[in-house]
Amino acid sequence: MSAWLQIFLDFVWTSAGLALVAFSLGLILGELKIVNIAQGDLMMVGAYSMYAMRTLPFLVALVLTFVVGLLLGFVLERGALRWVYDKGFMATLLATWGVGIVLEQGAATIFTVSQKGIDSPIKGLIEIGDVAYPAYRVVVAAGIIVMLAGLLLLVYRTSLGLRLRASIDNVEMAAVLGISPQRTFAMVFAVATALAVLAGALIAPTIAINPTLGLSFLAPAFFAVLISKPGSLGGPVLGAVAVEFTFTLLQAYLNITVAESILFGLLALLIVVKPQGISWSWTTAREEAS
Amino acid sequence: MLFAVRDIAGGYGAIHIVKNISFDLDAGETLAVLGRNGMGKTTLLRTLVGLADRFAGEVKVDGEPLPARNPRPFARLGITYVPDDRGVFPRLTVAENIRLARLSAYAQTEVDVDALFPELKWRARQPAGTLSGGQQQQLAIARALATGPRLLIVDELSQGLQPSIVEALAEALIAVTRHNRLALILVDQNPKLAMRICDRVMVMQRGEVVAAGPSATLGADERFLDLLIV
Repeated sequence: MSAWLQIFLDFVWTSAGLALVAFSLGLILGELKIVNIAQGDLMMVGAYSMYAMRTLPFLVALVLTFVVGLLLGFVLERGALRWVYDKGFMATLLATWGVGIVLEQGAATIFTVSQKGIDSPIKGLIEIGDVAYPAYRVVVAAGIIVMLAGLLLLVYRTSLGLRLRASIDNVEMAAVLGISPQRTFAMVFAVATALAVLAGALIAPTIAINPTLGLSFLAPAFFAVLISKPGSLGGPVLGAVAVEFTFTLLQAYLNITVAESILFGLLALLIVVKPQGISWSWTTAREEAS
Repeated sequence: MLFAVRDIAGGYGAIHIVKNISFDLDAGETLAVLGRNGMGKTTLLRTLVGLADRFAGEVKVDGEPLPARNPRPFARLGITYVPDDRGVFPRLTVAENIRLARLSAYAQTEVDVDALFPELKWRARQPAGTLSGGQQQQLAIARALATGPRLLIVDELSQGLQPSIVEALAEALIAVTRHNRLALILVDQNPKLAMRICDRVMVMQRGEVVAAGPSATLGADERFLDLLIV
């Protein structure tokens, strides 16, 4: 029983981090129609930012890192991506790939490639059932779940979210109704970048920090987005939970390499069978079925 | 003058499609733009609202020239556009499509869109992308009216719709233009319908205006009708 509870708690922890990255990736793909290859490297920036500010109180460093993420996103969108929006899919893919390489090499130059680490701000374990689980992971997972719920409420229940979803659906008609595409693109990329950077900052105390740390998050986050309906913002969050749930189950019985191979094989098969993505909305799924 | 167009030329990139087009439109005036397929009617409308490139000429609203290739200032000045593909936001519900228009409204609309299109009220929670073509056209017109516009520009009102829906939409447009002094520019493949809705007509051929005048006069002219035969 305690082994399964331990597995469940690990699943919640990893799902929360992946869901934040997938939401950010889905936001960029939905609004800007860009596949952001640099997403993992943005997480790496967050982790290194926390390392660079390790002498500051953790929460102060976290807030400053989020601000760094917003500024970085704004600079990348205005300085690089806006020049390639109308150059097609391959140009934007290469642009974000280039950004990723610059970030990785920049981190390696500044911090060297040797692994770094930061202390967890919350020490100790929390007793959940008969499992003692790291308190930091419980707090961060709960924080991310609350934050994602807040973001989804913002997207689906506010005027700002309505404008955002409208410009994801039809950017030209949104402009006809007075919504600025340039301003929306810059805001979305800055916020999405800050969320990826924040995800890296939050997991930093639990991992070894190195310039390529984001790579291991990139593939599962992409699959979480790809198995969702295009343009959906809640979909990547549920996609992340589905990806992590499958991976956790496989990992319970198989070694990690075999589990990963089967997971990605299954996800690739799912995309072939259902290229339009899974509708996580019951009403939409019912309409599609009828 | 609400809307003044002077010698505009427009198109996409290096391709010039419409040229030398001028006309004026004041509050409550209605203008039908007619012509065979491929004569530049849609490009003209897109140039007027800043969705296509304008290479020459001026578009003025209340005497103020507006920039080319930027639709946002038009929205701020109460000019709205319904494209030929209806342009509904497919993943937003019907109610959200209308709410979005109200959020960016030029003025509070005097038109009761619920009364004009009761079917949309019943389908308020349905995603717009799952509506039929006729329902989407109703939503596109309702959304445009919800912005409280002074000038409504509609591309292909009747395209692909059954006659009863076309008739309902035409009656709705006639009612709002007459009672609310809404100006209208309408492109449609059906000259009789367009001339019934609009007081004036302009015929395009190869990107230029070749005939213009009151609907009642031109509608009775055989040579004018020949210009519209495909």
